[in-house]
Amino acid sequence: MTPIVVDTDVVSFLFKNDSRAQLYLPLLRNHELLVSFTTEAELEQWILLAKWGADRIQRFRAFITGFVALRCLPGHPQSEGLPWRSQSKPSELCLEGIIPRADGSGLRTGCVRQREKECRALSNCRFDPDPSAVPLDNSLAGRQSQAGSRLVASV
Amino acid sequence: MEKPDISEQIGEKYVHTGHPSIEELVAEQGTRFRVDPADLLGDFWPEDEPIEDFLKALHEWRGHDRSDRAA
Repeated sequence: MTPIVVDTDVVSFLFKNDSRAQLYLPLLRNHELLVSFTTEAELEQWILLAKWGADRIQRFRAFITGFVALRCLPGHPQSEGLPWRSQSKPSELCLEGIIPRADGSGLRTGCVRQREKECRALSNCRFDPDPSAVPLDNSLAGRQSQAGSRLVASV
Repeated sequence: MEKPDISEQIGEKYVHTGHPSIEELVAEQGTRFRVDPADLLGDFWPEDEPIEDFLKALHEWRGHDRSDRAA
């Protein structure tokens, strides 16, 4: 099975059992399903805001085990991603986590920008914005040129 | 001799590489890929919480709004 990254909206269609989930099911078959840690954080954020009860949370946690989360790993700076500032909007940050597949091939998700305060609120990762971090566009270009053996999960 | 906890083993490896494989993440998280993705259709999301509300919040969190073309 090849892995694919499923974004938050599609996961929510599944979990909500929304009619739109049926559109995606054929695309999900025979794949290892991955989610960005951002997706986990966004769902958890919603659950907190909507004040779900313990039973719903428990059932959510059971369903989310059907995906592997591309998480930052607390305490391991190398795996906590490289934040960099958007050139066009300096108040925004992107965070890139890079995870190779065991067989040496890789995938890359799209980048989603977050405002700094939202990054801090949403992510369970440590954010240490570095003012001297690589600009967005250069960073992406560099990563793409560094072999396809990397998976880039972005917040 | 006591066998080290798997999370400790994985954590130690991460310190050196910083790049866990998908297989390692699966082991760490106890992921169980479903044979049929239809098994991921949930029954726990409150009926009185429209998915559109969640999607709207999601877009706001991500900075996607009509005035923000770069987001």
